[in-house]
Amino acid sequence: MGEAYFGYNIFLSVILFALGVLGVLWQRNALSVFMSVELMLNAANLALITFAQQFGDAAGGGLVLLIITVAAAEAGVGLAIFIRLYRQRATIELDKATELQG
Amino acid sequence: MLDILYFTLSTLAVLSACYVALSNNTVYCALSLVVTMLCLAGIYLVIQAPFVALIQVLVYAGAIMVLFLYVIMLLNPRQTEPVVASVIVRRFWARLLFLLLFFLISAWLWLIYSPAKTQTQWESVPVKTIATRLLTDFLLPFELTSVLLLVAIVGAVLIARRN
Repeated sequence: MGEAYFGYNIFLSVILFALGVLGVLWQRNALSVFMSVELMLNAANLALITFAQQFGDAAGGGLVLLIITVAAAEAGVGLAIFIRLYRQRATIELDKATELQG
Repeated sequence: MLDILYFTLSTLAVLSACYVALSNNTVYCALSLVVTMLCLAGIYLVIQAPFVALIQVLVYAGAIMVLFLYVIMLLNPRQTEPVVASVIVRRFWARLLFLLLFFLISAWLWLIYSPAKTQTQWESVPVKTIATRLLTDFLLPFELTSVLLLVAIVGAVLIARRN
Protein backbone atom coordinates (compact mmCIF):
# COMPACT_ATOMS: atom_id res chain seq x y z
CA MET A 1 0.00 0.00 0.00
CA GLY A 2 1.32 3.45 -0.85
CA GLU A 3 3.76 2.41 -3.56
CA ALA A 4 1.80 4.30 -6.22
CA TYR A 5 2.87 7.55 -4.54
CA PHE A 6 6.61 7.26 -5.24
CA GLY A 7 6.70 9.69 -8.16
CA TYR A 8 4.26 12.12 -6.54
CA ASN A 9 6.27 12.14 -3.33
CA ILE A 10 9.54 12.92 -5.07
CA PHE A 11 7.80 15.63 -7.09
CA LEU A 12 6.33 17.13 -3.90
CA SER A 13 9.76 17.03 -2.31
CA VAL A 14 11.28 18.91 -5.29
CA ILE A 15 8.55 21.57 -5.12
CA LEU A 16 9.02 22.06 -1.37
CA PHE A 17 12.82 22.27 -1.71
CA ALA A 18 12.58 24.83 -4.54
CA LEU A 19 10.09 26.86 -2.49
CA GLY A 20 12.53 26.78 0.42
CA VAL A 21 15.31 28.16 -1.81
CA LEU A 22 12.91 30.83 -3.09
CA GLY A 23 12.02 31.79 0.48
CA VAL A 24 15.65 32.06 1.59
CA LEU A 25 16.33 34.56 -1.21
CA TRP A 26 12.95 36.30 -1.04
CA GLN A 27 12.60 37.12 2.65
CA ARG A 28 14.36 39.99 4.39
CA ASN A 29 13.55 38.89 7.91
CA ALA A 30 16.08 36.52 9.51
CA LEU A 31 13.34 34.44 11.16
CA SER A 32 11.47 33.94 7.89
CA VAL A 33 14.71 32.94 6.13
CA PHE A 34 15.32 30.42 8.89
CA MET A 35 11.83 28.99 8.45
CA SER A 36 12.49 28.52 4.73
CA VAL A 37 15.61 26.55 5.66
CA GLU A 38 13.41 24.31 7.83
CA LEU A 39 11.17 23.87 4.79
CA MET A 40 14.14 22.59 2.78
CA LEU A 41 15.03 20.16 5.58
CA ASN A 42 11.45 18.87 5.52
CA ALA A 43 11.64 18.34 1.75
CA ALA A 44 14.86 16.34 2.19
CA ASN A 45 13.20 14.23 4.90
CA LEU A 46 10.26 13.47 2.62
CA ALA A 47 12.57 12.31 -0.18
CA LEU A 48 14.60 10.18 2.24
CA ILE A 49 11.53 8.47 3.68
CA THR A 50 10.11 7.87 0.20
CA PHE A 51 13.31 6.20 -1.00
CA ALA A 52 13.56 4.20 2.24
CA GLN A 53 10.03 2.86 1.71
CA GLN A 54 10.70 2.18 -1.96
CA PHE A 55 13.82 0.13 -1.28
CA GLY A 56 12.38 -1.47 1.85
CA ASP A 57 15.20 -0.24 4.12
CA ALA A 58 14.51 0.36 7.80
CA ALA A 59 17.44 2.78 8.06
CA GLY A 60 15.33 5.63 6.64
CA GLY A 61 13.34 6.15 9.83
CA GLY A 62 16.50 6.26 11.94
CA LEU A 63 18.24 8.71 9.61
CA VAL A 64 15.20 10.99 9.59
CA LEU A 65 15.21 10.89 13.39
CA LEU A 66 18.86 12.03 13.38
CA ILE A 67 18.13 14.78 10.82
CA ILE A 68 15.25 16.12 12.91
CA THR A 69 17.49 16.15 16.01
CA VAL A 70 20.18 18.08 14.15
CA ALA A 71 17.49 20.49 12.88
CA ALA A 72 16.36 21.08 16.47
CA ALA A 73 19.94 21.83 17.57
CA GLU A 74 20.37 24.16 14.60
CA ALA A 75 17.12 25.97 15.38
CA GLY A 76 18.17 26.49 19.01
CA VAL A 77 21.58 27.97 18.17
CA GLY A 78 20.22 30.03 15.24
CA LEU A 79 17.44 31.59 17.28
CA ALA A 80 19.94 32.41 20.07
CA ILE A 81 22.07 34.22 17.48
CA PHE A 82 19.02 36.19 16.29
CA ILE A 83 18.20 37.22 19.86
CA ARG A 84 21.78 38.45 20.23
CA LEU A 85 21.55 40.30 16.89
CA TYR A 86 18.28 41.93 17.94
CA ARG A 87 19.81 43.11 21.23
CA GLN A 88 22.74 44.73 19.48
CA ARG A 89 20.90 46.62 16.73
CA ALA A 90 17.15 46.36 17.52
CA THR A 91 16.36 44.75 14.15
CA ILE A 92 16.68 41.32 12.55
CA GLU A 93 16.56 42.54 8.97
CA LEU A 94 19.34 40.65 7.23
CA ASP A 95 20.17 43.59 4.93
CA LYS A 96 21.14 45.63 7.99
CA ALA A 97 23.83 43.22 9.19
CA THR A 98 26.61 44.13 6.76
CA GLU A 99 29.79 44.39 8.86
CA LEU A 100 31.27 41.40 7.04
CA GLN A 101 30.44 43.08 3.68
CA GLY A 102 27.75 40.49 2.98
CA MET B 1 -10.26 7.46 -0.33
CA LEU B 2 -6.53 7.39 0.44
CA ASP B 3 -5.85 9.10 -2.88
CA ILE B 4 -8.18 11.98 -2.04
CA LEU B 5 -6.54 12.35 1.38
CA TYR B 6 -3.06 12.25 -0.16
CA PHE B 7 -3.74 14.86 -2.83
CA THR B 8 -5.56 17.16 -0.41
CA LEU B 9 -2.64 16.97 2.01
CA SER B 10 0.01 17.54 -0.66
CA THR B 11 -1.87 20.49 -2.21
CA LEU B 12 -2.28 22.04 1.23
CA ALA B 13 1.43 21.45 1.94
CA VAL B 14 2.51 23.21 -1.27
CA LEU B 15 0.13 26.15 -0.73
CA SER B 16 1.25 26.74 2.84
CA ALA B 17 4.90 26.34 1.76
CA CYS B 18 4.30 29.12 -0.81
CA TYR B 19 2.97 31.24 2.03
CA VAL B 20 6.05 30.49 4.15
CA ALA B 21 8.33 31.54 1.30
CA LEU B 22 6.51 34.73 0.30
CA SER B 23 4.63 36.09 3.33
CA ASN B 24 5.57 39.40 4.91
CA ASN B 25 4.20 38.57 8.35
CA THR B 26 6.52 36.41 10.44
CA VAL B 27 3.77 35.03 12.69
CA TYR B 28 1.63 33.90 9.73
CA CYS B 29 4.82 32.49 8.21
CA ALA B 30 5.41 30.32 11.29
CA LEU B 31 1.78 29.20 11.49
CA SER B 32 1.70 28.14 7.84
CA LEU B 33 4.98 26.28 8.38
CA VAL B 34 3.16 24.34 11.12
CA VAL B 35 0.43 23.53 8.57
CA THR B 36 3.07 22.30 6.10
CA MET B 37 4.64 20.06 8.73
CA LEU B 38 1.30 18.59 9.83
CA CYS B 39 0.43 17.88 6.16
CA LEU B 40 3.78 16.14 5.73
CA ALA B 41 3.05 14.08 8.85
CA GLY B 42 -0.25 13.04 7.27
CA ILE B 43 1.59 12.08 4.09
CA TYR B 44 4.01 9.97 6.15
CA LEU B 45 0.99 8.17 7.59
CA VAL B 46 -0.39 7.54 4.09
CA ILE B 47 2.93 6.09 2.86
CA GLN B 48 3.10 3.74 5.86
CA ALA B 49 5.73 5.47 8.00
CA PRO B 50 3.84 6.11 11.27
CA PHE B 51 6.97 6.42 13.43
CA VAL B 52 8.32 9.29 11.32
CA ALA B 53 4.88 10.92 11.34
CA LEU B 54 4.85 10.79 15.13
CA ILE B 55 8.36 12.26 15.39
CA GLN B 56 7.41 14.95 12.88
CA VAL B 57 4.39 16.05 14.92
CA LEU B 58 6.12 15.79 18.31
CA VAL B 59 9.51 17.33 17.55
CA TYR B 60 8.97 19.51 14.48
CA ALA B 61 5.42 20.80 14.77
CA GLY B 62 5.60 20.61 18.57
CA ALA B 63 9.01 21.56 19.91
CA ILE B 64 10.82 23.42 17.11
CA MET B 65 7.85 25.53 16.01
CA VAL B 66 7.02 26.45 19.62
CA LEU B 67 10.63 27.66 19.93
CA PHE B 68 10.19 29.70 16.73
CA LEU B 69 6.91 31.24 17.88
CA TYR B 70 8.42 32.00 21.26
CA VAL B 71 11.32 33.91 19.68
CA ILE B 72 8.93 35.72 17.29
CA MET B 73 6.80 36.87 20.21
CA LEU B 74 9.96 37.86 22.13
CA LEU B 75 11.46 39.95 19.32
CA ASN B 76 8.21 41.16 17.74
CA PRO B 77 9.77 41.86 14.33
CA ARG B 78 7.94 44.35 12.13
CA GLN B 79 8.36 44.83 8.42
CA THR B 80 8.76 48.60 8.33
CA GLU B 81 11.66 48.98 5.92
CA PRO B 82 10.64 49.94 2.38
CA VAL B 83 11.52 47.52 -0.42
CA VAL B 84 14.73 48.93 -1.91
CA ALA B 85 16.12 48.34 -5.40
CA SER B 86 18.65 45.70 -4.33
CA VAL B 87 15.84 43.63 -2.81
CA ILE B 88 13.85 43.81 -6.05
CA VAL B 89 16.88 42.64 -8.04
CA ARG B 90 17.48 39.80 -5.56
CA ARG B 91 13.85 38.73 -5.76
CA PHE B 92 14.04 38.63 -9.55
CA TRP B 93 17.04 36.26 -9.34
CA ALA B 94 15.21 34.26 -6.66
CA ARG B 95 12.27 33.68 -9.03
CA LEU B 96 14.65 32.67 -11.82
CA LEU B 97 16.55 30.28 -9.54
CA PHE B 98 13.28 28.77 -8.30
CA LEU B 99 12.07 28.02 -11.83
CA LEU B 100 15.50 26.75 -12.90
CA LEU B 101 15.84 24.45 -9.88
CA PHE B 102 12.30 23.17 -10.19
CA PHE B 103 12.42 22.40 -13.90
CA LEU B 104 15.98 21.05 -13.93
CA ILE B 105 15.44 18.60 -11.05
CA SER B 106 12.02 17.59 -12.41
CA ALA B 107 13.43 16.98 -15.89
CA TRP B 108 16.36 15.04 -14.46
CA LEU B 109 14.06 12.86 -12.35
CA TRP B 110 11.81 12.35 -15.35
CA LEU B 111 14.79 11.10 -17.38
CA ILE B 112 16.11 8.63 -14.80
CA TYR B 113 12.74 7.49 -13.48
CA SER B 114 11.90 3.85 -14.15
CA PRO B 115 9.12 2.51 -11.94
CA ALA B 116 9.59 -1.14 -12.85
CA LYS B 117 13.12 -1.39 -11.48
CA THR B 118 12.64 -1.32 -7.71
CA GLN B 119 8.92 -1.69 -7.12
CA THR B 120 8.55 -3.20 -3.65
CA GLN B 121 5.56 -3.44 -1.37
CA TRP B 122 5.47 -0.39 0.90
CA GLU B 123 4.83 -1.50 4.43
CA SER B 124 5.10 -0.07 7.89
CA VAL B 125 8.49 -0.65 9.53
CA PRO B 126 8.20 -1.61 13.22
CA VAL B 127 9.82 0.79 15.66
CA LYS B 128 11.88 -2.09 17.06
CA THR B 129 13.60 -2.57 13.69
CA ILE B 130 14.40 1.14 13.44
CA ALA B 131 15.76 1.14 16.99
CA THR B 132 17.92 -1.91 16.28
CA ARG B 133 19.40 -0.30 13.17
CA LEU B 134 19.95 2.94 15.07
CA LEU B 135 21.80 1.25 17.93
CA THR B 136 23.92 -1.10 15.80
CA ASP B 137 24.74 0.25 12.32
CA PHE B 138 24.23 3.92 13.19
CA LEU B 139 25.56 3.87 16.74
CA LEU B 140 28.34 6.41 16.09
CA PRO B 141 26.10 9.00 14.33
CA PHE B 142 23.52 8.48 17.09
CA GLU B 143 26.03 9.21 19.86
CA LEU B 144 27.50 12.13 17.90
CA THR B 145 23.99 13.59 17.61
CA SER B 146 23.55 13.45 21.38
CA VAL B 147 26.90 15.24 21.84
CA LEU B 148 25.79 17.80 19.22
CA LEU B 149 22.57 18.42 21.16
CA LEU B 150 24.53 19.00 24.37
CA VAL B 151 26.89 21.42 22.60
CA ALA B 152 23.91 23.22 21.02
CA ILE B 153 22.17 23.62 24.39
CA VAL B 154 25.26 25.06 26.07
CA GLY B 155 26.05 27.22 23.03
CA ALA B 156 22.51 28.62 22.75
CA VAL B 157 22.44 29.57 26.45
CA LEU B 158 25.90 31.14 26.21
CA ILE B 159 25.06 33.16 23.08
CA ALA B 160 21.65 34.38 24.20
CA ARG B 161 22.42 35.34 27.80
CA ARG B 162 22.92 38.91 28.88
CA ASN B 163 26.42 39.87 29.97
